[in-house]
Amino acid sequence: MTDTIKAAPIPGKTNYFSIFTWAITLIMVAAIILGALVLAFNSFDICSAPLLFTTGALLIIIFLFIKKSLKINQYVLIALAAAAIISGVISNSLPVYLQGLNIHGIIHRSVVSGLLILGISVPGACYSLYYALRGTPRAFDISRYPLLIFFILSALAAYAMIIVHIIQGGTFQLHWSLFTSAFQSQSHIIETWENGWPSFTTVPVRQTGMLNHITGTLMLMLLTSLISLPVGVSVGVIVHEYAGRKLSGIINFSTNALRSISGIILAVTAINLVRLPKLGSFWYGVFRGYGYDVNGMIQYGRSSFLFASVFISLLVIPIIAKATKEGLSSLPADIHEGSLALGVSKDHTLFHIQLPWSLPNIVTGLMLGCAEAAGALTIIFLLSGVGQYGVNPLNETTSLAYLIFDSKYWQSLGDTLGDLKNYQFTAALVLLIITIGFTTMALILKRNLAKRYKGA
Amino acid sequence: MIVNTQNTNSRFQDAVTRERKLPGGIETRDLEICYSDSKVIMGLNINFTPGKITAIIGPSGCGKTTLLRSLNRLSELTGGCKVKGQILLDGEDILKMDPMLLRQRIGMVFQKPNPFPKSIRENILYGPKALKLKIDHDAIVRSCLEKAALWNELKDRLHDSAFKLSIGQQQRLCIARTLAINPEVILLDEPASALDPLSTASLETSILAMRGEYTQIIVTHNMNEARKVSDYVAFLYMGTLVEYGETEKVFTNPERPETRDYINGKFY
Amino acid sequence: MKIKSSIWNVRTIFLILSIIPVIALSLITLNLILGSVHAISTLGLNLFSNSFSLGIEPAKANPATLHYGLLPALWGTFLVILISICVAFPVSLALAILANDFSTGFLSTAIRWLIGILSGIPPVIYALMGSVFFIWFFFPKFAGQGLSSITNPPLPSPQMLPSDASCTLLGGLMLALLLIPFITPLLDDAFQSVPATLKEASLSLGANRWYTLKSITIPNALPGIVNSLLLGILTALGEAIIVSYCIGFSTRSLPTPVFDVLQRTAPLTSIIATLAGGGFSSSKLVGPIGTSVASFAGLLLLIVAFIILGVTSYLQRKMKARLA
Repeated sequence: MTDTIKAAPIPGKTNYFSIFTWAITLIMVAAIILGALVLAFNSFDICSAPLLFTTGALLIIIFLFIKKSLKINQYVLIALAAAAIISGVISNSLPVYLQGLNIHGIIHRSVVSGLLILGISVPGACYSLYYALRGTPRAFDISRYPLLIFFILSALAAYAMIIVHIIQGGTFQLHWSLFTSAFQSQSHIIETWENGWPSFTTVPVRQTGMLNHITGTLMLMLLTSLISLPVGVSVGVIVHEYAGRKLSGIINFSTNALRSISGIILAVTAINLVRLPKLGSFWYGVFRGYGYDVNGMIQYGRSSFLFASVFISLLVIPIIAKATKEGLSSLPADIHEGSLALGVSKDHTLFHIQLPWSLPNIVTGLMLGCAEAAGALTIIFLLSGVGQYGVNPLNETTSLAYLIFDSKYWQSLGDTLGDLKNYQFTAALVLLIITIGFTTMALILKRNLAKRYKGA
Repeated sequence: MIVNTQNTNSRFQDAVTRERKLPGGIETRDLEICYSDSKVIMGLNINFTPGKITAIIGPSGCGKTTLLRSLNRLSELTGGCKVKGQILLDGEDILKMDPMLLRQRIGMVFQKPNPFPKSIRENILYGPKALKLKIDHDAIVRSCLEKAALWNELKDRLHDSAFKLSIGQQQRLCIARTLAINPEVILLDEPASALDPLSTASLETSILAMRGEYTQIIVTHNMNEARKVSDYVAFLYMGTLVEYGETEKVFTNPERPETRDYINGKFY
Repeated sequence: MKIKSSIWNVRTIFLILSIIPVIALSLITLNLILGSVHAISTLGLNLFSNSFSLGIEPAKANPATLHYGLLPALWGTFLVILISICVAFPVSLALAILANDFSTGFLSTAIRWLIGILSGIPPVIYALMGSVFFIWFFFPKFAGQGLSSITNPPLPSPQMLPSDASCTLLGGLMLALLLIPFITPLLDDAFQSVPATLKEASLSLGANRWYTLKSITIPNALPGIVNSLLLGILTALGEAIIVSYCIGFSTRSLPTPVFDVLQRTAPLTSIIATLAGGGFSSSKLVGPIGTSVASFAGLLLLIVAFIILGVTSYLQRKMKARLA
């Protein structure tokens, strides 16, 4: 093979080159951060044009350095530098507020310049990092990190802001009674006797608290688990045992479809169904949920826990079915065959070997389902109330998620009155703790499952 | 043979094209490899002779594959692997090199043939294209297939998918693919263990034909193969080098009792 | 005999229980179809017209002023999905690449744990934060309240964002935040399904990780990547709470520059919520066909969901065949 030798960088020059390229890399990274700040806040916009010009100049410097010490022309750098300078010119000459441009509102200049800065500085950081690390193939890999990390960090920043803000807002003006007292907004009519004639006084019963919402959420989780566990496990078992047959294919498809059709369609169906029973019939109470207020009068709600749980479990069944399927298929074939080889029937193997093995998987699926049920709002947001008449399966549905919804839109449904609607962040915090708690427990359980396959 | 003058550590990939040396010699000094706190290789000192074929034999689990994979730093891909000591390729410490540049000089053929899901021609050209080597594509395809004894069989079907080949042909394709980047050393991890006897014979012919131009290190379970193919033999037992010497001498007159027992089949 | 018959019953119980999802799905579909018959027969193609308005006062609702054109809603769905996928997909791709090809054990595990924990956040939270917190980033940039007095010269009666800065862009961005922890594990699985031996072969030829990613991992994981994209679209399609909070509950007609993401273009799911709830924003009246139109819109969503599911199951079969 005839290869040719080209000169390696001259040892003496390498030091300057290295220092310069590292410095330029750091400036590029700073440019990325500044670009993000420009995009977020208007006041940083002053520095966007100078930043773009500096970036362009630095890129030209790198190009010249490489040309001198390695005798190659990296035209990409020139193109990037030109783009930077043109962007700087554009950014400088734009009016502070952009109008027209086929956009309805008005855009501040910082949006455009922020995007331009990011578009130039991220590739710039990648290139300068590559040359700072001396251009080996490994350096090429490492120099791609700014590209990846930029996207990831911006998303993680958003999540961090969400969680921090909820914790801040949720712990503001917190007092214990919020969690121990139930919300009450009723009028107690007391009958008294005066001069032989009955007279009625109305005593308002008011209490601010979210106990009923919290217990409502827990009740939803409980009922959903009770309903979806048997069905989910059955689906998982049948699909696993009879895989390949037509019936199990239909069951599999239906279960996946239930997961995908999302809450709003189930909500439509639920609303249509809840209107079916006529007033006064037994089913009316069961569907709508009823409770007794302080005066002993029966009050009907929009839907009962039982009714809502049935629909939420339609969302949760696929989760448990998938977990059961995974658990069953993870059983090593030799153990299964070993049991059958002893002459034990298939059903006995199912109960005594397969299901106990899949139990951790099923529990994981159950926990994920509970987290899902706690956060379910799409199905129940038109079917819930405040639930001040008690929290048992036949009462009106209520949930922390509903509290958050109602606090914002209280004008429309007007259930949550008083200062409870100011506590939407506290409700969000409690909801977050419940859902993330269950999800994390499920993850930890899954992680411990993985060890089982290697060791025991 | 042209000698190169480049420092492997600090060159710019797009600035230079590679130059090949004499077949490289590998030397290990006090090599220790630990997998999650259990030592697999302990205090290993071996000198692999350039241009010759060295076989590493030993019972299963004694660290042969681990040693081989650490020579081209593929062992770093599995988590929890720590390598201590020195491995020198012609005097340069491998562990301090850029691993990708290292792997251009030390190639590997795996136990189970793993051709890419592309055509035969694309499989061979994968390496040169990835490394942006400036060479004639057709010429290199032909020369690599000739060295792997596949040219006559495959010259008319270069654009067929590599999966259509028999498993023996796939393994020789993997060798041809490794040759395309012009390495100095070739590591072979039990190359014939997945092959039938006829393919094994063609494989051994190819290995012998590459002697002199490349340094080859073969890990094998099969002592007949070790005896037929290699110039030197290293017997590894429980992570230490028990015996090393010329093949004929080790097999006919082993110095150590463990070697004698292993060769006589008293344990595997 | 006794033992056999009792276990036979148990297996039948399993079978019976597992038919429940099938029955439920059929009932739901039937319900939607039956419910939308009224709307289809009364309105016909007017359902796809470009105007949607509901009554203002219950007492004076004039049926002639009630329009149920779903075109703005369909366009809204398209815009929202476009924005959210364009933002969420690159981030998920970056996360999956980082966790698989570009880092060793610790970082990969950390990323996977983090994504797992973040996937537990329910959509309500994103909706809340979008409408309460993130909106404040939008105000100085896009809203124009009182702007004409600040700018020099004052802008001629600029068209402002709604006073609460809700716009399609905000809904799309919050939906993207929901999608990222959902798509990333799917992409992760797709990348892991590429056999490690291929990656090792590529690396042992001296190629660097980026080249291996480009030429081996991504082409081999392509069915899985498309699969995750489709499932992401499916999730974005059915999300009602986030878009309702951040965009609004109904839109009259298509926005005038059609791709204007700074206006409110409520997607299909919000329209369904408005209609099905009997106009739960009590100042609006839905009219007699309202619930029927809601069923029809739900039917549209169902059909699209079935199509996407069909394509994904085909892709999943292809992926399994490849592994075998």
